[in-house]
Amino acid sequence: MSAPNGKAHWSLYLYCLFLLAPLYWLVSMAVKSNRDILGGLELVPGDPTLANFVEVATNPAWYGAFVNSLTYVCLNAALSITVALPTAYAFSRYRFLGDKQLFFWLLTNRMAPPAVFLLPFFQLYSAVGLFDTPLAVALAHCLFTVPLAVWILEGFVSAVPKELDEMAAIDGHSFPFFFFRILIPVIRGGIGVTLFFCFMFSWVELLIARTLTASEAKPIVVAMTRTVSASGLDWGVLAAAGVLTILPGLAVVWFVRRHLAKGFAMGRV
Amino acid sequence: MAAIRASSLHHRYQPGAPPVLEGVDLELRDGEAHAVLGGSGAGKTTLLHLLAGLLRPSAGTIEFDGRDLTAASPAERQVAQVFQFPVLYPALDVAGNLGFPLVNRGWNAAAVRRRVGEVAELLSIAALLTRKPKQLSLFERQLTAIGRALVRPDVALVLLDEPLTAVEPAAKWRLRQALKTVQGELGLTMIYVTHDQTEALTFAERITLLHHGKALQTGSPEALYEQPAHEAVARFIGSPGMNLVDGEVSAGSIRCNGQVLGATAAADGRCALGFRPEWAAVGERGVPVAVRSVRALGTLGGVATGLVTAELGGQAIHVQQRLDGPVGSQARLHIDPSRILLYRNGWLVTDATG
Repeated sequence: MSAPNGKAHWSLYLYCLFLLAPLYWLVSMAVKSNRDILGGLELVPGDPTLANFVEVATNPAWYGAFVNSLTYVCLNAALSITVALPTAYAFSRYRFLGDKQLFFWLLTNRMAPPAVFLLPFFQLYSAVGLFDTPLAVALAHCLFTVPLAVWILEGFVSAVPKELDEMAAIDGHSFPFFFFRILIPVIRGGIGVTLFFCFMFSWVELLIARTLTASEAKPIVVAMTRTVSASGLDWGVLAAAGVLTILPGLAVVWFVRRHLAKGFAMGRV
Repeated sequence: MAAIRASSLHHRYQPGAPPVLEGVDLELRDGEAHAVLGGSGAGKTTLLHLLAGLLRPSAGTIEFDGRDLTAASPAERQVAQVFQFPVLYPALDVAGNLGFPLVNRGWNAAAVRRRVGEVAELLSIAALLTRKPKQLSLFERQLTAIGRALVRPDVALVLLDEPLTAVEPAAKWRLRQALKTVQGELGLTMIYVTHDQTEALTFAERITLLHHGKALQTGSPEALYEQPAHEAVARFIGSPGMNLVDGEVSAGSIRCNGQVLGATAAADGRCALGFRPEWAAVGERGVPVAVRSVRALGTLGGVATGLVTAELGGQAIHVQQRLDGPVGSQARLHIDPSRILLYRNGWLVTDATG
């Protein structure tokens, strides 16, 4: 590989600048007061303040929403992996009647827009008393994340030679020992990638999260769309909440960055 | 170590599916290096899985030292396996991989270390003990995988499933030597499955030839070469394989295309005549043949050798001989009459002494 030439370099920097511009605007708004935001065009905040962040951190309506979001996102990721790992193993290792059809059918679930499922979810969860709980959102998101997780993990399990299973059996290991102590460590990169995609879907999803919650379990993405109060829009606080909402995503990407490329190379992501 | 006897093994993967193994008998002596040779789809890997206990045979029994272990789990059988390409636990270093089967059986750390050291010494991989599989060459990884298989002193049977396939040709010989040395020193009972006759013929004391799920012949490499019990064995062993031409026996003489090739005590009737390419010569004497091509094979043992392809009564045959001078298109073929083998219904006629 030769070093990229100067032109390509500059176009890359320009592109990054273009991508980062809205992000910069968000961060700069987050450290300004409402008066400064509405006062006029200001590229660099003249009078930076952390008051907006303090407001988000101390107001239960805000930090409660964060906790709600994180609760159902983590629940969803845990549920998805728990269900998808054995499923992916089965699809990868066993031949059974209709296995290919079933595998494809998993994907077709994702072909329908989430809005289609709003009514049945709303009615069902209201009936069983799950409405307005983090668990309701986590379960509803599973409809989309489990097929995705199975699809990704199947690729990773299939990349593990079948001989590893056989060797473990010949070594005298039980199946649970093999599954938890040998297979899972081998595909932990794939599990990380899968967690990342479950997290990303669940964290940014708005429609289902909004429909299935009211006040108790209101997630952060919903809180951010319902901030119009009597005194008008609280621009600064909203921007601060936005910055904080980006952080968990950044953290997750940071943890799986090395495995992501592998997932993409497998064509499963 | 153990002596293993498998009797009339049958296996099909699903009820109604075509059988993969049909009545295979196999006997391994204690401490024997045994090869199972066969083309793809012959049932070699299935046979290994049955011996390892990964599969249960549809019918037949497997005995280790006289104990019937047909239904026993892999762990109860105390077998170890080396696969086509090295299978190691990626998270563990070489020492960890070698010691894993022992740690798992509750050995204490000092004993594991001692045993791992011995095995590493034997395979000359002691310098690699602290490396991860990722940092090893394919050859070194396969050596480690072999070490894993040998590390348990109580292992009854070592199964090798084409262990040299993934290794580059130059390293194959070294790996085979290492295997053979270890097998001899430890007196291991080893079964070596391969489609490569050179590997089988050079590794094993005895060979079983598997063909379409049937064991056609078990014997020493020489026996399989000189006296193949079945036409399929005759064709499979040797490069090129044995010549087989249509012929007949009448009144004690072997005839092909109307010409007498030799004498036999076998009963009259049609049969196939088999002879190795080097048991015949194209030249001045014998029956007339049409020579199709002559291909130089190079100098073998100081003698310029060639492969002559000719037609005998419309059937192609190969003759390997020294190339003294040019071979004309019309020549004569002489086959050593004492070495012509007769096959009826595919099987060797054993009373055909000339």
